[in-house]
Amino acid sequence: MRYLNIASPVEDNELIQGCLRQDRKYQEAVFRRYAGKLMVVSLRYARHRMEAEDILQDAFIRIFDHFDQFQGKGSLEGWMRRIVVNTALKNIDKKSFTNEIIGLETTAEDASGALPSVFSQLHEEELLQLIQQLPDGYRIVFNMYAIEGYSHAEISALLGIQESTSRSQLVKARKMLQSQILESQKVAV
Amino acid sequence: MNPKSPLDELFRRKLSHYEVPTSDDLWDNIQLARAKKPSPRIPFWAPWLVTSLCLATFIYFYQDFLIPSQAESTSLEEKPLQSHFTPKMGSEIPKPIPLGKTSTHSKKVAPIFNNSLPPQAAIIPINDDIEQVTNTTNITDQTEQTSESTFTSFTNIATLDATLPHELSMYSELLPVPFKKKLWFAKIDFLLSQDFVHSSLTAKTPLFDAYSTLRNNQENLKVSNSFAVRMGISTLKGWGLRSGIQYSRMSQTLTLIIPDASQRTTSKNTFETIDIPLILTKEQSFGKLRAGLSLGTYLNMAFNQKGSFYSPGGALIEFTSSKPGAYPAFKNRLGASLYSGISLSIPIGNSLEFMAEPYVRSRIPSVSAEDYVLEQKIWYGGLFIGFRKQIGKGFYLP
Repeated sequence: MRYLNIASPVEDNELIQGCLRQDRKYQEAVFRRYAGKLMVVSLRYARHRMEAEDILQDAFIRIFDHFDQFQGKGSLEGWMRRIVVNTALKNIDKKSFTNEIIGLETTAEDASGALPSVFSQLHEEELLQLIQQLPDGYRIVFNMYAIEGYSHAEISALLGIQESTSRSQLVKARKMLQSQILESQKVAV
Repeated sequence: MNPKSPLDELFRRKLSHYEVPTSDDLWDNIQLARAKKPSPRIPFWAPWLVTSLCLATFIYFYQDFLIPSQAESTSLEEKPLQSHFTPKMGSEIPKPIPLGKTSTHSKKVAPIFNNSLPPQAAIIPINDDIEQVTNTTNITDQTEQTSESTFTSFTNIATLDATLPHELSMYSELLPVPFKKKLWFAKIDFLLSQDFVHSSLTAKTPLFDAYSTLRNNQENLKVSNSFAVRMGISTLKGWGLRSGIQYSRMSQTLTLIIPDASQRTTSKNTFETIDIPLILTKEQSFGKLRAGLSLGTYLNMAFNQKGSFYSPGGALIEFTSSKPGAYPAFKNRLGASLYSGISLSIPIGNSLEFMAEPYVRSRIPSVSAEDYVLEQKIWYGGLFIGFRKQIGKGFYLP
């Protein structure tokens, strides 16, 4: 693997200035610094690793092509994460949500109770696999709400679905994750 | 922040700092894909701007080729031919030339001098580049070779400008019309307008078609008010360039009807824009009325928004640009828009005109943020009403 000839550590500001100049050394430095974290974001939305790499590649192309649009209001990482998420959302199929009953009300306490201790013993890689095994609609809404922090109103606007659909997908995703975790523990025992 | 769920927290905590290595060739693939990308698209308004500038430049220089017609006309740009000549000394002033007694060289004189020979002639230092013509009517052939009472014709007007000796610049008043720069007039416009705005929302992907339809149904016709100050220069022939600044404030009302029709709520939004117009005009007089065509571009300097729109589920999503944390649904700068209008003006006082200009303007690039799922395009139509004031007298550009 090749490494950059840039003194480490390099501040984000320096990387930003370099990328604004379209300097390839700094672009590579940004890639090396954030590709691992952004790969996790991409993997959460994708069904498999190959799709995740395609999403990440498209996202980095957009990032470097539109670097001048980074206004510095938030962190560079946050801005890049949003681009990865938006790139992933471009590839989703609306049919992922059509099986849901619009207006289905679900109880809020479905996943609000204390988790069994086995949950916290799960490794990151296992959690990632659990997310990837979710159906598309569940996976996308769970990622956006639980991890990215979007509200149901925002998810509704971004995905073009009813808020109630978003809520129901989230609850079902949580239930499915819980049952999968418990199931895997039974197998392990 | 969303309500905490232990399960959500678990995933968020464990995955937020987790990293997965990418394949070794991903960076190379990214570089390869970027290298293969076509060159950046030329902005849609660039050809328009270049054409406008070329047209303006052509018009400016084209006027210098209108020599014959200008020489024969009596436009404001010409002085009487006699005024190009000034006496040097009273004793050297030749007597008026009787009709029919012209010089044998008179046929060589440029047409511009044919109509009326000057009653008085200035003495000009002889120069190789200037053909010397002697008025011999009241002087002998022997004196014909002297430099007294001579005046010049310019056989090679196109090249004389470059070869004219520096000391001749003091005789610039002698130069005929072609050597004059074009006369320009500076004018300032103060305009108010009532605009009607039409916008269309389209989904970037079929996934959001239903949402775009919903938004199109919710948003009614918008009304905008604008104030513009334009400075411009124009020629007597009516060609002009104008630029300045324009502030517009657009109001919008969104109406949400809950599906069971039990509730009806509204949201009032405002959008403010600051634009710099760059307009090429051509005007023509019809009696007192002066009418013209205006074409150009508006370059947007700022676009501020305040308000909310509804999500498909009926929740308000605030997009106020000055509010941190609001949803960034719109761009902060909108690029260029195309402008076309028909200007009508009538003089109402000393250097003052009342003017009206119906216009249409299209903001072709989407006003939506790049990452937003809908594309919103805007068209304006309206009527500018105001005053045009000429500043000072005509002037020559350097």
